[in-house]
Amino acid sequence: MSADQEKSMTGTTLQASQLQRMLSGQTILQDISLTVAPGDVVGLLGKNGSGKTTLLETLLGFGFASFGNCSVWGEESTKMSSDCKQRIGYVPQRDELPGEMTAKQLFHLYRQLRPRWDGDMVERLMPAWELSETKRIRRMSEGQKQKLAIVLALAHQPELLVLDEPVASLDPIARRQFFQQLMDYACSDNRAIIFSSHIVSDMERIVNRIWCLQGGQLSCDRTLDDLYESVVRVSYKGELAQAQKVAIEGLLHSEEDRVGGQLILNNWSQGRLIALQNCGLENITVSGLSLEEIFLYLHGAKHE
Amino acid sequence: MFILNSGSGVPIYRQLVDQVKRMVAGGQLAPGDNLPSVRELAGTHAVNPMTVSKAYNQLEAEGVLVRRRGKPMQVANQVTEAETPRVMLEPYLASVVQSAEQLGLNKDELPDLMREYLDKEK
Repeated sequence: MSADQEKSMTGTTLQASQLQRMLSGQTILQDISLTVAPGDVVGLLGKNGSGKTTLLETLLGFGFASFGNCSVWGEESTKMSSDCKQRIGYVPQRDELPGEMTAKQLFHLYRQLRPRWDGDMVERLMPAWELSETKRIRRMSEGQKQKLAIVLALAHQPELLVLDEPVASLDPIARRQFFQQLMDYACSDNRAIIFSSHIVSDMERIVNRIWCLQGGQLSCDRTLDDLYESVVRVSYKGELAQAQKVAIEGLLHSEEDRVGGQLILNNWSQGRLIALQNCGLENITVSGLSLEEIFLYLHGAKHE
Repeated sequence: MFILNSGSGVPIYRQLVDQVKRMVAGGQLAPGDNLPSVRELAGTHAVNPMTVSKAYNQLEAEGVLVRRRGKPMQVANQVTEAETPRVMLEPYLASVVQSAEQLGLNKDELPDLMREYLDKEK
Protein backbone atom coordinates (compact mmCIF):
# COMPACT_ATOMS: atom_id res chain seq x y z
CA MET A 1 0.00 0.00 0.00
CA SER A 2 1.33 3.41 -0.92
CA ALA A 3 1.71 6.23 1.58
CA ASP A 4 -1.08 8.07 -0.20
CA GLN A 5 -3.55 5.27 0.20
CA GLU A 6 -2.63 4.87 3.82
CA LYS A 7 -3.11 8.54 4.46
CA SER A 8 -6.61 8.58 3.04
CA MET A 9 -7.79 5.49 4.87
CA THR A 10 -7.38 7.11 8.20
CA GLY A 11 -9.37 10.11 9.26
CA THR A 12 -11.65 12.29 7.27
CA THR A 13 -11.68 13.31 3.65
CA LEU A 14 -12.96 16.80 4.14
CA GLN A 15 -13.79 18.95 7.10
CA ALA A 16 -15.14 22.43 7.63
CA SER A 17 -15.87 24.32 10.80
CA GLN A 18 -17.82 27.52 11.32
CA LEU A 19 -17.35 28.45 7.73
CA GLN A 20 -18.55 31.88 6.71
CA ARG A 21 -18.34 33.48 3.30
CA MET A 22 -19.11 37.07 2.39
CA LEU A 23 -19.34 38.24 -1.19
CA SER A 24 -19.63 41.97 -1.89
CA GLY A 25 -21.03 42.72 1.55
CA GLN A 26 -23.55 39.90 1.51
CA THR A 27 -23.35 36.81 3.69
CA ILE A 28 -23.57 33.83 1.34
CA LEU A 29 -22.56 31.12 3.80
CA GLN A 30 -22.95 31.18 7.53
CA ASP A 31 -21.60 29.03 10.33
CA ILE A 32 -21.19 25.84 8.35
CA SER A 33 -19.53 22.87 10.01
CA LEU A 34 -19.41 19.50 8.33
CA THR A 35 -17.37 16.36 7.78
CA VAL A 36 -17.01 13.95 4.87
CA ALA A 37 -15.51 10.50 5.45
CA PRO A 38 -14.22 7.99 2.89
CA GLY A 39 -17.18 6.04 1.52
CA ASP A 40 -19.61 8.91 1.92
CA VAL A 41 -21.89 9.93 -0.90
CA VAL A 42 -23.27 13.30 0.11
CA GLY A 43 -26.20 15.00 -1.59
CA LEU A 44 -26.30 18.77 -1.32
CA LEU A 45 -29.84 20.08 -1.64
CA GLY A 46 -31.00 23.64 -1.81
CA LYS A 47 -33.09 26.03 -3.85
CA ASN A 48 -31.53 28.13 -6.57
CA GLY A 49 -29.45 30.84 -4.99
CA SER A 50 -29.14 29.09 -1.63
CA GLY A 51 -25.36 29.05 -1.88
CA LYS A 52 -24.69 25.48 -3.10
CA THR A 53 -22.06 26.43 -5.66
CA THR A 54 -20.37 28.86 -3.27
CA LEU A 55 -20.22 26.15 -0.61
CA LEU A 56 -18.64 23.60 -2.97
CA GLU A 57 -16.15 26.17 -4.25
CA THR A 58 -15.21 27.26 -0.74
CA LEU A 59 -14.75 23.67 0.44
CA LEU A 60 -12.33 23.09 -2.43
CA GLY A 61 -10.45 26.32 -1.77
CA PHE A 62 -11.46 28.25 -4.91
CA GLY A 63 -12.23 31.17 -2.68
CA PHE A 64 -11.32 32.35 0.77
CA ALA A 65 -13.69 31.98 3.69
CA SER A 66 -14.33 35.17 5.67
CA PHE A 67 -14.35 33.15 8.86
CA GLY A 68 -13.80 29.56 9.90
CA ASN A 69 -11.74 27.01 8.06
CA CYS A 70 -11.95 24.00 5.83
CA SER A 71 -9.46 21.32 4.93
CA VAL A 72 -9.15 18.38 2.58
CA TRP A 73 -7.15 15.40 3.89
CA GLY A 74 -5.89 17.67 6.62
CA GLU A 75 -4.55 20.34 4.26
CA GLU A 76 -6.14 23.76 4.35
CA SER A 77 -8.32 24.08 1.25
CA THR A 78 -6.82 27.31 -0.07
CA LYS A 79 -3.26 26.04 0.43
CA MET A 80 -3.58 22.52 -0.91
CA SER A 81 -0.48 20.83 -2.28
CA SER A 82 -0.57 19.71 -5.90
CA ASP A 83 -0.50 16.12 -4.66
CA CYS A 84 -3.71 16.79 -2.80
CA LYS A 85 -5.31 18.49 -5.80
CA GLN A 86 -4.50 15.50 -8.00
CA ARG A 87 -6.72 13.40 -5.79
CA ILE A 88 -9.75 15.61 -6.37
CA GLY A 89 -12.16 15.54 -9.30
CA TYR A 90 -14.44 18.52 -9.85
CA VAL A 91 -17.25 19.07 -12.31
CA PRO A 92 -18.42 22.69 -12.27
CA GLN A 93 -22.01 23.63 -12.98
CA ARG A 94 -21.09 25.24 -16.28
CA ASP A 95 -18.51 23.44 -18.29
CA GLU A 96 -15.17 25.16 -18.60
CA LEU A 97 -13.95 23.03 -21.48
CA PRO A 98 -11.98 24.61 -24.34
CA GLY A 99 -14.47 24.90 -27.21
CA GLU A 100 -11.99 24.61 -30.06
CA MET A 101 -10.57 21.30 -28.90
CA THR A 102 -11.90 17.80 -29.45
CA ALA A 103 -12.32 15.23 -26.68
CA LYS A 104 -9.41 13.29 -28.15
CA GLN A 105 -7.07 16.29 -27.92
CA LEU A 106 -8.29 17.01 -24.43
CA PHE A 107 -7.63 13.44 -23.26
CA HIS A 108 -4.13 13.66 -24.69
CA LEU A 109 -3.51 16.85 -22.72
CA TYR A 110 -5.02 15.58 -19.48
CA ARG A 111 -3.10 12.32 -19.60
CA GLN A 112 0.12 14.30 -19.43
CA LEU A 113 -1.07 16.38 -16.51
CA ARG A 114 -2.45 13.52 -14.48
CA PRO A 115 -0.22 10.87 -12.92
CA ARG A 116 -3.16 8.49 -12.83
CA TRP A 117 -5.31 7.95 -15.90
CA ASP A 118 -7.87 5.23 -16.45
CA GLY A 119 -7.74 4.93 -20.23
CA ASP A 120 -9.90 1.78 -20.21
CA MET A 121 -12.72 3.57 -18.49
CA VAL A 122 -12.55 6.49 -20.92
CA GLU A 123 -12.65 4.10 -23.86
CA ARG A 124 -15.62 2.32 -22.39
CA LEU A 125 -17.61 5.40 -21.39
CA MET A 126 -17.21 7.48 -24.55
CA PRO A 127 -19.23 5.18 -26.82
CA ALA A 128 -21.55 4.08 -24.00
CA TRP A 129 -22.47 7.71 -23.35
CA GLU A 130 -22.64 8.41 -27.09
CA LEU A 131 -19.85 10.95 -27.08
CA SER A 132 -17.69 11.74 -30.07
CA GLU A 133 -13.93 11.97 -29.64
CA THR A 134 -13.45 13.97 -32.81
CA LYS A 135 -16.17 16.61 -32.58
CA ARG A 136 -15.14 20.08 -31.49
CA ILE A 137 -16.44 20.72 -27.98
CA ARG A 138 -18.22 23.94 -28.94
CA ARG A 139 -20.34 21.91 -31.37
CA MET A 140 -21.54 19.60 -28.59
CA SER A 141 -24.90 19.96 -26.86
CA GLU A 142 -25.04 21.04 -23.20
CA GLY A 143 -25.74 17.47 -22.17
CA GLN A 144 -22.80 16.13 -24.17
CA LYS A 145 -20.47 18.71 -22.65
CA GLN A 146 -21.69 17.80 -19.20
CA LYS A 147 -21.08 14.12 -19.87
CA LEU A 148 -17.60 14.84 -21.20
CA ALA A 149 -16.80 16.92 -18.11
CA ILE A 150 -17.87 13.98 -15.96
CA VAL A 151 -15.70 11.52 -17.95
CA LEU A 152 -12.74 13.87 -17.49
CA ALA A 153 -13.36 14.16 -13.75
CA LEU A 154 -13.61 10.38 -13.32
CA ALA A 155 -10.67 9.49 -15.54
CA HIS A 156 -7.92 10.23 -13.05
CA GLN A 157 -9.67 8.16 -10.38
CA PRO A 158 -10.01 10.90 -7.81
CA GLU A 159 -10.60 9.99 -4.19
CA LEU A 160 -12.84 13.00 -3.71
CA LEU A 161 -15.31 13.72 -6.47
CA VAL A 162 -17.29 16.95 -6.32
CA LEU A 163 -20.06 17.56 -8.85
CA ASP A 164 -22.10 20.74 -9.05
CA GLU A 165 -25.54 19.96 -10.55
CA PRO A 166 -24.11 17.12 -12.65
CA VAL A 167 -27.44 15.97 -14.05
CA ALA A 168 -29.00 19.34 -14.84
CA SER A 169 -28.77 18.96 -18.63
CA LEU A 170 -28.95 15.17 -18.84
CA ASP A 171 -31.98 13.32 -20.18
CA PRO A 172 -33.43 10.50 -18.02
CA ILE A 173 -31.44 7.75 -19.75
CA ALA A 174 -28.16 9.65 -19.50
CA ARG A 175 -28.96 10.43 -15.89
CA ARG A 176 -29.45 6.77 -15.13
CA GLN A 177 -26.20 5.84 -16.91
CA PHE A 178 -24.36 8.53 -15.01
CA PHE A 179 -25.65 7.34 -11.64
CA GLN A 180 -24.81 3.73 -12.49
CA GLN A 181 -21.25 4.79 -13.27
CA LEU A 182 -21.12 6.95 -10.15
CA MET A 183 -22.20 4.06 -7.92
CA ASP A 184 -19.72 1.72 -9.55
CA TYR A 185 -17.09 4.35 -8.83
CA ALA A 186 -18.27 4.63 -5.22
CA CYS A 187 -17.68 0.91 -4.66
CA SER A 188 -13.92 1.32 -4.37
CA ASP A 189 -12.56 2.07 -0.94
CA ASN A 190 -11.51 5.53 0.15
CA ARG A 191 -13.65 7.39 -2.32
CA ALA A 192 -16.05 10.11 -1.35
CA ILE A 193 -18.56 11.95 -3.50
CA ILE A 194 -20.35 15.23 -2.99
CA PHE A 195 -22.93 16.34 -5.50
CA SER A 196 -25.50 19.08 -5.57
CA SER A 197 -28.91 18.82 -7.13
CA HIS A 198 -32.42 20.01 -6.61
CA ILE A 199 -33.89 16.71 -7.77
CA VAL A 200 -34.67 14.96 -4.49
CA SER A 201 -35.73 11.65 -5.99
CA ASP A 202 -32.25 11.17 -7.51
CA MET A 203 -30.74 11.45 -4.07
CA GLU A 204 -32.86 8.72 -2.57
CA ARG A 205 -30.94 5.90 -4.26
CA ILE A 206 -27.53 7.44 -4.39
CA VAL A 207 -26.59 9.22 -1.18
CA ASN A 208 -26.04 8.14 2.38
CA ARG A 209 -25.95 11.68 3.75
CA ILE A 210 -27.93 14.79 2.96
CA TRP A 211 -26.87 18.37 3.42
CA CYS A 212 -29.53 20.96 2.98
CA LEU A 213 -28.64 24.56 2.47
CA GLN A 214 -31.22 27.19 3.35
CA GLY A 215 -30.37 30.86 3.27
CA GLY A 216 -26.66 30.10 3.48
CA GLN A 217 -27.00 27.86 6.52
CA LEU A 218 -26.86 24.11 6.78
CA SER A 219 -30.42 23.41 7.90
CA CYS A 220 -29.93 19.66 7.68
CA ASP A 221 -26.89 17.40 7.91
CA ARG A 222 -28.24 13.92 8.49
CA THR A 223 -27.82 10.42 7.18
CA LEU A 224 -30.55 9.14 4.91
CA ASP A 225 -31.35 6.32 7.35
CA ASP A 226 -31.76 8.80 10.16
CA LEU A 227 -34.16 10.91 8.08
CA TYR A 228 -36.28 7.90 7.12
CA GLU A 229 -36.50 6.63 10.66
CA SER A 230 -37.13 9.92 12.40
CA VAL A 231 -39.63 11.62 10.09
CA VAL A 232 -42.80 9.51 9.85
CA ARG A 233 -46.52 9.61 9.19
CA VAL A 234 -48.73 8.46 12.06
CA SER A 235 -52.35 7.66 11.20
CA TYR A 236 -54.90 7.16 13.94
CA LYS A 237 -58.51 6.86 14.87
CA GLY A 238 -59.90 9.17 17.48
CA GLU A 239 -59.68 12.84 18.21
CA LEU A 240 -56.89 15.08 19.39
CA ALA A 241 -57.64 18.24 21.34
CA GLN A 242 -55.71 21.33 20.28
CA ALA A 243 -53.89 21.36 23.62
CA GLN A 244 -52.81 17.75 23.11
CA LYS A 245 -51.56 18.57 19.64
CA VAL A 246 -49.48 21.47 20.84
CA ALA A 247 -47.83 19.17 23.36
CA ILE A 248 -46.67 16.70 20.70
CA GLU A 249 -42.96 17.10 20.22
CA GLY A 250 -41.70 17.61 16.67
CA LEU A 251 -45.14 17.92 15.08
CA LEU A 252 -44.55 19.06 11.51
CA HIS A 253 -48.04 18.75 10.14
CA SER A 254 -51.47 17.41 11.05
CA GLU A 255 -54.64 16.60 9.21
CA GLU A 256 -58.00 15.35 10.41
CA ASP A 257 -60.99 13.62 8.94
CA ARG A 258 -64.25 12.43 10.46
CA VAL A 259 -62.90 9.29 12.14
CA GLY A 260 -59.30 10.19 12.83
CA GLY A 261 -56.35 11.87 11.28
CA GLN A 262 -52.68 11.81 10.57
CA LEU A 263 -49.65 13.48 12.02
CA ILE A 264 -46.26 14.05 10.46
CA LEU A 265 -43.70 13.82 13.23
CA ASN A 266 -40.01 14.58 13.48
CA ASN A 267 -37.70 12.80 15.96
CA TRP A 268 -39.82 9.68 15.96
CA SER A 269 -38.95 6.68 18.09
CA GLN A 270 -40.97 3.61 18.89
CA GLY A 271 -41.15 4.71 22.53
CA ARG A 272 -43.36 7.64 21.60
CA LEU A 273 -46.19 5.30 20.64
CA ILE A 274 -47.28 5.00 24.28
CA ALA A 275 -47.63 8.75 24.68
CA LEU A 276 -49.95 8.82 21.66
CA GLN A 277 -52.00 5.92 22.99
CA ASN A 278 -52.30 7.81 26.26
CA CYS A 279 -53.91 10.65 24.31
CA GLY A 280 -56.75 8.23 23.62
CA LEU A 281 -55.82 7.45 20.01
CA GLU A 282 -56.54 4.05 18.52
CA ASN A 283 -55.45 2.03 15.50
CA ILE A 284 -52.17 3.91 15.35
CA THR A 285 -50.09 3.01 12.31
CA VAL A 286 -46.68 4.42 11.56
CA SER A 287 -45.48 4.59 7.97
CA GLY A 288 -42.52 6.03 6.14
CA LEU A 289 -42.38 9.01 3.80
CA SER A 290 -40.53 9.52 0.56
CA LEU A 291 -37.49 11.75 0.77
CA GLU A 292 -39.33 14.40 -1.19
CA GLU A 293 -42.19 14.45 1.31
CA ILE A 294 -39.74 14.53 4.20
CA PHE A 295 -38.18 17.68 2.78
CA LEU A 296 -41.44 19.39 2.03
CA TYR A 297 -42.57 18.82 5.61
CA LEU A 298 -39.25 19.68 7.21
CA HIS A 299 -39.20 22.97 5.36
CA GLY A 300 -42.78 23.77 6.14
CA ALA A 301 -43.77 23.89 2.48
CA LYS A 302 -46.64 21.46 2.86
CA HIS A 303 -48.96 23.46 5.08
CA GLU A 304 -52.40 24.09 3.72
CA MET B 1 -33.48 -9.14 -10.70
CA PHE B 2 -34.87 -6.65 -8.19
CA ILE B 3 -37.26 -3.75 -8.51
CA LEU B 4 -36.09 -0.79 -6.46
CA ASN B 5 -38.25 2.30 -6.44
CA SER B 6 -37.39 5.70 -5.12
CA GLY B 7 -40.21 7.86 -3.85
CA SER B 8 -42.20 5.01 -2.35
CA GLY B 9 -41.55 5.89 1.27
CA VAL B 10 -39.86 2.54 1.83
CA PRO B 11 -36.07 2.89 2.16
CA ILE B 12 -34.14 1.17 -0.64
CA TYR B 13 -32.34 -1.24 1.73
CA ARG B 14 -35.71 -2.26 3.18
CA GLN B 15 -37.07 -2.93 -0.32
CA LEU B 16 -34.06 -5.09 -1.07
CA VAL B 17 -34.36 -7.04 2.18
CA ASP B 18 -38.07 -7.65 1.62
CA GLN B 19 -37.62 -8.73 -1.99
CA VAL B 20 -34.84 -11.20 -1.22
CA LYS B 21 -36.99 -12.67 1.57
CA ARG B 22 -39.98 -12.95 -0.72
CA MET B 23 -37.94 -14.61 -3.43
CA VAL B 24 -36.48 -17.07 -0.95
CA ALA B 25 -39.88 -17.84 0.56
CA GLY B 26 -41.41 -18.22 -2.88
CA GLY B 27 -38.65 -20.46 -4.17
CA GLN B 28 -37.33 -18.08 -6.86
CA LEU B 29 -34.11 -18.13 -4.88
CA ALA B 30 -33.13 -21.61 -3.74
CA PRO B 31 -30.74 -22.57 -0.94
CA GLY B 32 -27.19 -22.30 -2.25
CA ASP B 33 -28.04 -19.76 -4.97
CA ASN B 34 -25.60 -16.88 -5.35
CA LEU B 35 -26.62 -13.27 -5.05
CA PRO B 36 -25.06 -10.51 -7.15
CA SER B 37 -22.04 -8.80 -5.62
CA VAL B 38 -22.46 -5.42 -3.94
CA ARG B 39 -20.69 -3.79 -6.87
CA GLU B 40 -22.88 -5.47 -9.47
CA LEU B 41 -26.08 -4.55 -7.71
CA ALA B 42 -25.00 -0.98 -6.95
CA GLY B 43 -23.87 -0.47 -10.54
CA THR B 44 -26.84 -1.97 -12.36
CA HIS B 45 -29.53 -0.47 -10.14
CA ALA B 46 -27.69 2.81 -9.49
CA VAL B 47 -27.96 2.53 -5.74
CA ASN B 48 -25.47 3.38 -3.03
CA PRO B 49 -23.17 0.39 -2.30
CA MET B 50 -23.54 1.00 1.44
CA THR B 51 -27.28 0.47 1.03
CA VAL B 52 -26.68 -2.90 -0.63
CA SER B 53 -24.18 -3.90 2.07
CA LYS B 54 -26.62 -2.89 4.75
CA ALA B 55 -29.37 -5.05 3.21
CA TYR B 56 -27.01 -8.02 2.84
CA ASN B 57 -25.79 -7.63 6.42
CA GLN B 58 -29.31 -7.62 7.73
CA LEU B 59 -30.23 -10.67 5.66
CA GLU B 60 -27.15 -12.42 6.96
CA ALA B 61 -28.00 -11.53 10.57
CA GLU B 62 -31.49 -12.89 10.05
CA GLY B 63 -30.10 -16.12 8.65
CA VAL B 64 -31.53 -15.70 5.15
CA LEU B 65 -28.12 -15.35 3.49
CA VAL B 66 -24.69 -16.69 4.33
CA ARG B 67 -21.39 -15.01 3.61
CA ARG B 68 -18.33 -17.01 2.70
CA ARG B 69 -14.88 -15.51 2.36
CA GLY B 70 -14.16 -14.21 -1.10
CA LYS B 71 -17.36 -15.66 -2.54
CA PRO B 72 -20.73 -14.14 -3.34
CA MET B 73 -23.48 -14.07 -0.75
CA GLN B 74 -25.52 -17.25 -0.83
CA VAL B 75 -29.02 -18.22 0.16
CA ALA B 76 -28.84 -20.14 3.46
CA ASN B 77 -29.84 -23.78 3.61
CA GLN B 78 -32.44 -23.34 6.26
CA VAL B 79 -34.70 -20.38 6.34
CA THR B 80 -36.31 -19.62 9.68
CA GLU B 81 -39.85 -20.76 10.30
CA ALA B 82 -41.30 -17.28 10.70
CA GLU B 83 -40.54 -16.38 7.10
CA THR B 84 -43.24 -18.46 5.46
CA PRO B 85 -45.02 -16.94 2.47
CA ARG B 86 -48.19 -16.62 4.54
CA VAL B 87 -46.51 -14.62 7.27
CA MET B 88 -44.86 -12.40 4.71
CA LEU B 89 -48.11 -11.56 3.01
CA GLU B 90 -49.57 -10.23 6.25
CA PRO B 91 -48.39 -6.60 5.95
CA TYR B 92 -50.04 -6.42 2.52
CA LEU B 93 -53.26 -7.84 3.86
CA ALA B 94 -53.12 -5.30 6.67
CA SER B 95 -52.81 -2.47 4.18
CA VAL B 96 -55.79 -3.79 2.19
CA VAL B 97 -57.84 -3.86 5.39
CA GLN B 98 -56.72 -0.34 6.25
CA SER B 99 -57.59 0.98 2.78
CA ALA B 100 -60.98 -0.70 2.94
CA GLU B 101 -61.70 0.98 6.27
CA GLN B 102 -60.68 4.35 4.90
CA LEU B 103 -63.08 3.80 2.01
CA GLY B 104 -65.84 3.06 4.47
CA LEU B 105 -66.24 -0.58 3.43
CA ASN B 106 -67.30 -3.25 5.85
CA LYS B 107 -64.53 -5.71 6.71
CA ASP B 108 -66.94 -8.59 6.17
CA GLU B 109 -67.17 -7.67 2.50
CA LEU B 110 -63.46 -8.24 1.97
CA PRO B 111 -63.45 -12.01 1.30
CA ASP B 112 -66.12 -11.55 -1.38
CA LEU B 113 -64.26 -8.64 -2.93
CA MET B 114 -61.07 -10.68 -3.00
CA ARG B 115 -62.87 -13.56 -4.69
CA GLU B 116 -64.42 -11.23 -7.30
CA TYR B 117 -61.03 -9.71 -7.96
CA LEU B 118 -59.38 -13.11 -8.43
CA ASP B 119 -62.15 -14.19 -10.80
CA LYS B 120 -61.54 -11.11 -12.92
CA GLU B 121 -57.79 -11.88 -12.99
CA LYS B 122 -58.55 -15.23 -14.58
